[in-house]
Amino acid sequence: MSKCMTFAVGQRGAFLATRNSARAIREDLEERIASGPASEVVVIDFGGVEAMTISFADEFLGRFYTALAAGHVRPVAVLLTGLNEENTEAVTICLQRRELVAAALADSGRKLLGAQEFLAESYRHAVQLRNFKAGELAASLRITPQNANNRLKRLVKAGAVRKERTTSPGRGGKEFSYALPC
Amino acid sequence: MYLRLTGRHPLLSRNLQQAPCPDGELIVDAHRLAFAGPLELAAIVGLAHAARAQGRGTTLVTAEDPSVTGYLQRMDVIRRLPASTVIDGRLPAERRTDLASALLEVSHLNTETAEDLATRLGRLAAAHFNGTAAGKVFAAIGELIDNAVDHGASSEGAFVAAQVYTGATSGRRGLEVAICDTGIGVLAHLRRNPAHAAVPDAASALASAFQPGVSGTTEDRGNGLNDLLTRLEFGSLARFHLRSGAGLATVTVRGQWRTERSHRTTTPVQGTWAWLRIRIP
Repeated sequence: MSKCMTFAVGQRGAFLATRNSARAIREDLEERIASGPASEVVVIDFGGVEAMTISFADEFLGRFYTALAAGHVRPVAVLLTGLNEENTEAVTICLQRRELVAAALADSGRKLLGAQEFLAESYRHAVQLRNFKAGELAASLRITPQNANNRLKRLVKAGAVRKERTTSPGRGGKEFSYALPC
Repeated sequence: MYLRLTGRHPLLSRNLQQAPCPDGELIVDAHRLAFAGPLELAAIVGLAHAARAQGRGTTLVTAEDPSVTGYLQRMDVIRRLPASTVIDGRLPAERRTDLASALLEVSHLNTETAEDLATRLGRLAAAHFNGTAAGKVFAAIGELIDNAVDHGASSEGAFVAAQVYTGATSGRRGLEVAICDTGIGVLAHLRRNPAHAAVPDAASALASAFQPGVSGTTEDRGNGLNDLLTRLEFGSLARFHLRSGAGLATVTVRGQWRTERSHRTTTPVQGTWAWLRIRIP
């Protein structure tokens, strides 16, 4: 069971507008990730947030995911929850502008926001597999292992899947497995 | 400066009725004002605070129609004017009921008050628009708030007011919001970015500001005004005015259909005035 930290955005307000407040909330999140217990999974919960501007979403999530992908934030798996339809659209727009993706849990299940179809499809297969190795994802998608590795690299950078080093009896060298957070 | 407010919604006109004032004072003459909306309310207060910051006094000539003056008073125009403002005319006895679901009195908008005011305006939108439309209306208004706080920053801040119209007299239900800041204006802000240093005038600056990615910063930003208009594409007729310096941009949005026009004006204003009206279905 992975250690999980929930960051409740709704406690900051039901209507979120400005980059100023987004900056403060992002800095708080990054501080908690840096100084808190070694959580492996961060759930950013938008429950209670009725609406937000795209500017807010960009300054909060756009910049957070940029820092995560660049390694400026300790690597963690991230899941967005509690996004209503309008807020999902705002987040998706800001992610697409920055060519970023983010995993979200919606009523219909898990989905990858901001992603091009090939990556969204990869994530859907990952969701079905839950715990898997790159070769298994490649087989599921009917793509080459190299291609699967490239896609997994992007999913891991976005915190959409977790990557763990594993040992396999009788086999040497590096081997990794992948799992969905939470 | 002598600013004459006559008729209905006078500050929506392209050119304002203004003239220099010999002693440099600001005189806002609302004697013949027949109808004021959030734009007039927020602008009067913003102008007075900008004048005070320049060491000039303000005189407000109240409307001869007591219902108009009563409305200015109810919407906290008198309360928000600098204490040194001279009120020339009668003020009716104030009657006050809580109408938080129908209006936002003139309020000082700055980094400290922005989120509280955003919440007030969000509640206002949620009370009059359904589901995702309410979210889109708030997202549009929120971009105005962010712009005023982020780009319009000055020691005087900005002023915001809002009103829901039931359509009882006009037949047109709608939400109106105005935010008037006393900052450097769109042209000077845009020119801070070397990529836009050659923008020739305020009208051109306003036209550019609606284009995605045009920003006064060198960061990968500048989508706020375009996002504002895109959020309004949910179906209700929306009208947006943006006045800054000697420029005025007017935009009409109905679904995916949008018209944008920008004009030079003969009556420049300090800072930026934004006015948004969205028809309530």
